[in-house]
Amino acid sequence: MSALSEKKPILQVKDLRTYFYTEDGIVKAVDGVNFEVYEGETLGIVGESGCGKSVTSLSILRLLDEKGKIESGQIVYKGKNLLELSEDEMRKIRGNEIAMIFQEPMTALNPVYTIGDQIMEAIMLHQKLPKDEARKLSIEMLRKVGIPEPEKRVDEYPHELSGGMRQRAMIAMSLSCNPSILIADEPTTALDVTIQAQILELMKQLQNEYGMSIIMITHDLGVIAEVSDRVLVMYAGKAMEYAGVRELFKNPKHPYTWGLMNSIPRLDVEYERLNAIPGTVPDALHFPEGCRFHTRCELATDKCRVEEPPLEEVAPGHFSACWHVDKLEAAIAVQREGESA
Amino acid sequence: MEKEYKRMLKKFFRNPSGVLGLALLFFFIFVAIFAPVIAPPQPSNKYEPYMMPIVTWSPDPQPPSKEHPFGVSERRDIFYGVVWGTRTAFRIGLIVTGVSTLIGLFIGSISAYYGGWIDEILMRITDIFLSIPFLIAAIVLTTLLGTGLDKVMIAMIVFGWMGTARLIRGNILQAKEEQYVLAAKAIGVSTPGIIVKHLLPNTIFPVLIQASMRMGSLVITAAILSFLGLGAPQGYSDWGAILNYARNWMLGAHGEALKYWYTIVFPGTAMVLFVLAWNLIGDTLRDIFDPRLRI
Amino acid sequence: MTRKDEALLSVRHLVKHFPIRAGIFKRIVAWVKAVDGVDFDIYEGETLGLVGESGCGKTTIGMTLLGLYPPTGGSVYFNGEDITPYLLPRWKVRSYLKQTYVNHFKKLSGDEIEKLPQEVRRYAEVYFNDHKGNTESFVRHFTENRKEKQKAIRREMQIVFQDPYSSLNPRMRIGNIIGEAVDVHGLASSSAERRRMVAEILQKVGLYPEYAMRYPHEFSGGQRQRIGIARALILNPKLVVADEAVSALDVSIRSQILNLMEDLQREFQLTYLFISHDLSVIKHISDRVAVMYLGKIVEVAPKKKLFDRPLHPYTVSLMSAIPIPDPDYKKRRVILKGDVPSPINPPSGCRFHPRCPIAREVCSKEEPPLKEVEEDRKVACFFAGEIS
Repeated sequence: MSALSEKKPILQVKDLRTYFYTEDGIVKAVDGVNFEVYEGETLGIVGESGCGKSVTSLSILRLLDEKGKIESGQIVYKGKNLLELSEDEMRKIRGNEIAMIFQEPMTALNPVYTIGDQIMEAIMLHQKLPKDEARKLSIEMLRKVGIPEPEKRVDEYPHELSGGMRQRAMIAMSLSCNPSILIADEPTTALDVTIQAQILELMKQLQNEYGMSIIMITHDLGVIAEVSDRVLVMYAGKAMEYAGVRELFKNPKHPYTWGLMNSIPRLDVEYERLNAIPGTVPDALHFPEGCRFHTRCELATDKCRVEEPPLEEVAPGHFSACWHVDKLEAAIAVQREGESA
Repeated sequence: MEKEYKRMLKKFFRNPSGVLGLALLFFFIFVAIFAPVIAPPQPSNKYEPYMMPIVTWSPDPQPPSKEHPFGVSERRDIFYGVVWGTRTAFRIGLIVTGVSTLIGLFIGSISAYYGGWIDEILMRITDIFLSIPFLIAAIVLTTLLGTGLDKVMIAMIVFGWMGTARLIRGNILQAKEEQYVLAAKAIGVSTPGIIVKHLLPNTIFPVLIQASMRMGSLVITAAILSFLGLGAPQGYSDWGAILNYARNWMLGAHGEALKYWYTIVFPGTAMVLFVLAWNLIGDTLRDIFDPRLRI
Repeated sequence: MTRKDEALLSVRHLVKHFPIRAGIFKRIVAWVKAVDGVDFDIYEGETLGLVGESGCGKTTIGMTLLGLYPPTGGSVYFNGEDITPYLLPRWKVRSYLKQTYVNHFKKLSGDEIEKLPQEVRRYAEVYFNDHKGNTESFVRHFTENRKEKQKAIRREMQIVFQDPYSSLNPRMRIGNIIGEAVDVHGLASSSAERRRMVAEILQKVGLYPEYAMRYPHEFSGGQRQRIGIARALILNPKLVVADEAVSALDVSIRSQILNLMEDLQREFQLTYLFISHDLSVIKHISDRVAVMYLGKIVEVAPKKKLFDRPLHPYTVSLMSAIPIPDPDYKKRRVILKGDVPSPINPPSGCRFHPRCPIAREVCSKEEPPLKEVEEDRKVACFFAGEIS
């Protein structure tokens, strides 16, 4: 943790548990997750559908619907536990200090207001600027996110923009109040690859300029590798692995991470056959006992079926929740030998 | 899917208004089935049990008594009329709703499935039917066809299918884009096959809910027409027709506004409860199926 | 890859435009040029990957080949036979045949007919020899037994859809979803035989025969996609169009389905047209790849050649835009400027020129043809290979 620990954590999530009370039972969407976000850094949260990555981000902003409840845990932002704030205090944090962008900007933008109106609303609300200055700032923001002819675009409605442009407008809106943390929930999943490349580039560039921290939530390991500094791998509501990005990709210490990496066909490697993770993602109502990944894990033993492995530091700054890190290391060594041979 | 149905049933019975509606409906069904036992027709009336027996020669209504628990109106026994009128109400409701829903389903699904010119023409026809005020149209039609319960039912069917047609059209237009419809086409399933096997089962629930709601209101419409003298003939057991008899007595006697209350209250209550039963059931079904309320 | 000289499926100048209607009279105010003159061949037993971004027309091609949208123009040959008349509505068949064949044949001399492309020449023989130059009789050749021929085509070509949730009728049991095709084509003589066929195909796609009694909502996305594959394969088709068949699946499930599709290809000697926006999936499964941009194919080549050295600037930028799951992987990025233009008013000349890093004046004026630059490899660019 040498280089990373010099920085200060701006957000700490401790033992977060968010449950949903549905008619069919309790969905333990997030079940004891810990992580830190450091100043100016990007934390990537990666996992498949239903792993709890989006619920984690909604929990940070306390934006859950009435069925979802944060059962326990702490979300410490600049020394304050967000879970103890009043709704009024929380409103000042949302958008102003911690902003969020979503997968489908069309649903996050109000279709009956112009792009400019919506950016101005945020600026006027949080920065208390007069209307004409707010408008000037909105145009400035639109220019910053690379929207051509911002003076004209500021008066257009969301449906008049393309998907990529809408996401840019959304980013402009979320950055207009200069937040310390930007939560991006699958911001490029709905976009084409060439547009995705533009948006990722833009986010990196804006992060350098504004020095904010980013929580990047995605299912795409490629995006993670490209933008994150540290990565949290989630599966079935639990953190499986947590490490610096280079360390994670070079020395994965959890069979799930390893399986994920193996199952993506890479553009730069030739495969005869893909290494699939067998089985299906477990149903959120009936997560398996013991290690939640054991039903799909090739290294699973009886211990994994009964006892849940804790997230432990297995190498400096590298955390993994697995009983059999040593077995995995051996398996990886064998596979790598085979590849190089 | 069995599980799904069980869940729906459970939800239905957890809803007090649904249970009340169902109880009312069962009560009416019971009355309709056992009408000959509850109000046995007189021997002279055996072949025309729907005709309310004439029980007195006095033209004035008579208040409820032991022999005539609901009183007498226009020389006829109201109790008998209300009991046998339940059968009439079911007949009108079921036939009119059934036939107009089928017509609506047919026109709406053809319109939505084929689209283009066919859709355009059918929907304009629907608009025309919708733009004619129903009562006026029904009055004109019954003057053309003659009065009678069957004529009233025809009028209600002719001017009653448009809502269903529009609803099913909208639903099918949405379902048409689903990939399972494309998949069925790719397999080679014929057009009627796609409509019947794939589109209708996925779109018909709102229509059924709407139909159950309409079932009640139709009985009111039929009563209005009967009240206007277009419906059932003199003496026929029909709630609207009984109310029609009350026309002269509605205002009561001089200084006694409520003197002839029983001429309206009993058939009126029957009608209100009948409508209520269907509406409660429809409401409950909508609550269960409406995707906006269901998570 | 077992490759024969004659293609299993040939697509020639395929055009599909969708009208945009507006106003009370539903007048056509514009056309979306979703597919605008596309040529390609698929050989038996191979997988042709069709890749491009949203709105480039790749899905429209799949739908048109399956007869789910009638083509606006062009021809489709399956096993050398022109199946376009069966994709078109009946009232268009006559004018199609006249325009495509009869009017040409009447004008051409015998020598010129000899020089026609093979698939067209074949019909010249049919026209002059079998029908003695009688147009009516020639048209009847295509309109007779239309329903049966359409059904026969359906059995040869099937499709697997993208969305595992919307592609299965929620009110039908799995057995009926898969068995419906058996009923429509009368493949089973008894219900016991139908049950056996369904059970067999379920096992082939890695599911249990007992699943036939269940409903779609009881299954996960990956299992549903297996069911979708079973529905396509029960007819024992030659060609399967996989339209973004793994795009909606989770990463760990996606690789299972890709492996399954490869296994089934080997077992049933299937030919795939694999449509996807994901170049890494395309690279894994394809033998040859066609890259589409705004309704046109810009490059088509064997996989290895394409990925080793992309020639079209769009292919280059598409490849460089894909994030590689390796933080140390350093690559030269070609980040395209701007958005994909609207297919209603595509740019003049080369459709890629407004976003192209190497566009010159000629690109905005003339449209580059898709021409062979090396063996087996076609590119539609005046300056092919200038960046890579």
